Amino acid sequence: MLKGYWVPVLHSHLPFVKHPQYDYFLEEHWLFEAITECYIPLLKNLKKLYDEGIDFRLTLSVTPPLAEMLDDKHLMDKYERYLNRQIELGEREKSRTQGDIVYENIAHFYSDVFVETKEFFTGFLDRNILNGYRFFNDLGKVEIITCGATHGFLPLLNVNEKAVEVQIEVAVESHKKHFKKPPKGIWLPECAYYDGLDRILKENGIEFFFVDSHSLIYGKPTALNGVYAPTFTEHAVAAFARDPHSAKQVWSSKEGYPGDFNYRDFYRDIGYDLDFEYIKDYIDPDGSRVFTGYKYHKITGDSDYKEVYNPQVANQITKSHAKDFHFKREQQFEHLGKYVDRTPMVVSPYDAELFGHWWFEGPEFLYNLFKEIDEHKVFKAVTPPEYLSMYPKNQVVNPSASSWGDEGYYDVWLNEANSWIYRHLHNMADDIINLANTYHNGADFNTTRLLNQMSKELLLAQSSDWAFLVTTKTAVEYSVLRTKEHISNFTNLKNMIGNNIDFELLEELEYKNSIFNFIDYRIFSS
Amino acid sequence: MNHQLTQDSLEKNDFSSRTHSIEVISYDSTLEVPKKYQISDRYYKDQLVLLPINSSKFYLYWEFTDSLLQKYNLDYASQIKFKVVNSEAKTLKDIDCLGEVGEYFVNNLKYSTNIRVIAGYYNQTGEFVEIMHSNQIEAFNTEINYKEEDKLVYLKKEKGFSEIIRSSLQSFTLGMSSSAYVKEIEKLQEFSKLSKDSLSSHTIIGGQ
Repeated sequence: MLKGYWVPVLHSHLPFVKHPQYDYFLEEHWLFEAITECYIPLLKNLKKLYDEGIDFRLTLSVTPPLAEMLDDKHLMDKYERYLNRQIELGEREKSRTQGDIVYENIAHFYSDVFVETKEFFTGFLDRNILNGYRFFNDLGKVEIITCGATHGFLPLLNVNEKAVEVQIEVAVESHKKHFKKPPKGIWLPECAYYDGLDRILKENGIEFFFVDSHSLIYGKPTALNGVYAPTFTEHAVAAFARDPHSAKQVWSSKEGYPGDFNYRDFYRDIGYDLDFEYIKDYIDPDGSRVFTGYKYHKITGDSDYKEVYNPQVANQITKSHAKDFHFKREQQFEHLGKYVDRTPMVVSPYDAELFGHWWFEGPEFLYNLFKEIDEHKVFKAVTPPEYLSMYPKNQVVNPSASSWGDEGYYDVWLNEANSWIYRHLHNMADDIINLANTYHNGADFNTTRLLNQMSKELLLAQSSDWAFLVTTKTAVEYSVLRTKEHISNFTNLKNMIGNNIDFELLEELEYKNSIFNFIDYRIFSS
Repeated sequence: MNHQLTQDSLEKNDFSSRTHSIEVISYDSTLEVPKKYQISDRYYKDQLVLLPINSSKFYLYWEFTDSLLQKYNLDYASQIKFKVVNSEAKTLKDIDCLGEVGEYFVNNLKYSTNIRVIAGYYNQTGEFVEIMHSNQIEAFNTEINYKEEDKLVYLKKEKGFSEIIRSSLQSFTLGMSSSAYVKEIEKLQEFSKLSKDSLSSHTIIGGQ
C-alpha cells in the first residue's frame, strides 16, 4: 500500500530579454545557459526515463516570458551559434589538455556534453525546447502550468486590480498559444498570494496554485492537515503548500545535497582561469570575462582550495543522494500517516534553474530519484490534478497573504532600493485602462499599434525580476535600465496618440519588445 | 523623487528583509541611464497609495497637485499630515508630509487589522480635516487560527494536530527561494568584483 504522494514541482522562469540589435548581449546568455545546463539536461533525463519504461510525474511551470523566448527564432538562432562556439571551445580544450592525465578526461567530458546537447536540440527537440515539454505533457507525465504573464509580483500590482487580471489573462492566452490548451494550474510569481486573488484565478479557469507553508498554517482557518493535503479557497481553487523538509534537503546551503564537496564548483571556470588571449573568443567581445561552462574543479570544501572535478564520482554521489531523499520521504510519510486523515502528500517545489545551473548534477539526481521511486513503489509521484481526482473534497481555507521570498512576505520586492518602481507601474496601469476604455470600440490601425505596444511595455515593466535583481544587487544597472526603458517607451507611445507618430521608434519597439504578439489592448478595458 | 525623505524615513529595524547580510540601500536614482529614458516622478494627479511589505512594515507614496492645495487653501504640501488608521479608526501613527511628491516607509508598526492612511490638515480650530485617503491594506495573518465549529476536530486530533503544525513549520525558514540564491549571489558579487579588479580565481587561490 502506498505510504504517500509526492508532488515535485519545478518552476522555470527567466525575464524576457531580447536584444536583436546586438550579435552578443550578455544578458541573453542567461537564457542560453539555462537551456544548456537546465532545460535540455532535464528533458534528456526525462526522455531516458521514458525510454527505460520508468514511470514518473512532474509539474513544471514554464512562464510566459520564457515560453516566448524559447519560441523566438532570433533567440534560438543565436542559441545555436552559442552552442557551436561551445563545441569549438571543447575542441580547443581537448587539444590544450591532451596528455594531461588530470584535466584531459574532463575536457572530453564537457566537449561530449555540448555535442550531445546540440544533437538533442536539433534532433529530438527540432530546435524548440517547447517541443520537449509538449511531448511529455501530451503523454500525461508532465503537467505544464503557467505563471504571471511577465512574472509580476501580484500583491504589489493589486492597487489596480485590472493589472492583476491582465497578468493572469495574458498568461492563460500565452499558455494556450504554446501548449494548445489552457493551463490547469499556475505558479504564482514568487508564490505571492493575497486575499481575493483566487477569484481572478477561478475566472480564468485555474484549478490550483502553490503557496509557501505559512500561507496555509496561518490561513483562516489553519489547515487541519498542515501542508500535507491541499485546501480549497472560497472560490474553490486548490492551494498546495510547500513542504519545508524536502525543500531544505535540496535548498539548504549547509545541509543540502548541492553543497556536497564532490559536486562541481560553480565559480572555477576557464572563462576566468585561463589566459586572456586563449579564451578571448569565448567570452564577452568587450573583453569582460564570463562563465563558459567549462569548470574543472569540485567544491572540495569551504575554502578557496579546489580539487579537480571527477564527473563519474559526482554521478555516483547523485545516486546515493537520490536514495537518501527517497528514504527520508518514506520516513516522512510513515510519520505523517499517523496524523493526517488521508494518505499524506508532500509538495516539493524548486526553481528549475537550481537543477543544472547552480547544481550541475541536479538533473542526474532527479533521474536517479525517479528510478528509486519506480523501483520501490513505496510512494508515488503525482501531479496536482491527479491528486485532486483522488481527493476531490478538501478543507476550505483562506490562505494568508505571503510569498516564498526572503522573510516570507514582500520585503524583497518592495524596499528602499526598488520602491521607486511602483508609482510608475500603477500610473501606467491607470493610463492604459483609461485608454482601453476610450478606444474600447476600436481604433485606427496605427493607434491600435500604439496601444498594443503600450500594453506590452507595461507588462514588461511589471516583471518582478527587476525589483528582485535590484535588491540582490546583481545586474542592478541592467534592471534599472530595463524598468526605465519600458516606462519611457510607454510614455513616448502614449504621447503619440492623436499626435505625430514616430514610426521608426514604434517599429523598433515592436521588433525588439516582441513578446505576446496576440495581445489586444482591449484586455485592459474595465 | 525626494531622496532626503527616503533617507529620513529609513529606520533600521529588527524584523527586516536583511538576511544573509544583504545590504538594502536607498536607491540613488541618479544612476546614469540614457537621456531618452529619463522619467518624471510626477503624474499630475492626486494620489495616495499604501502598499504592504510585512506584518510591521508598509510603504506609502503620494502626489498632491497644485489644484488640490488650492482647493483647501494650503500654501504648502508640508501643511498636510498623514494619519495611519486601523479598521477601528484608531490612529496608529502620524507622519509629516514633506513635499508634493514623496514616499515613506513605516517600520516597526505592527498592525493586526486592516489599515489605511488619511491625508489631511489641521484647521485653525485644531480640527483634522481629511483631504483624501489611501487604499486599504489588509493585515498579514501570523497566527494559527481555530475555527470555532472545528474545535472538536482539533481536540480529537490532539497531539496529532500539534504534530502536523510542528512538522509543517519545522525546518521552515521563511523564504527559501530567493534567500537560497542569496548566498550564491553574494559569492557571485564578490567574485565579479574581484574579477573586475583583474584578479582571476586562479590568482585568488594561489595558482592551485
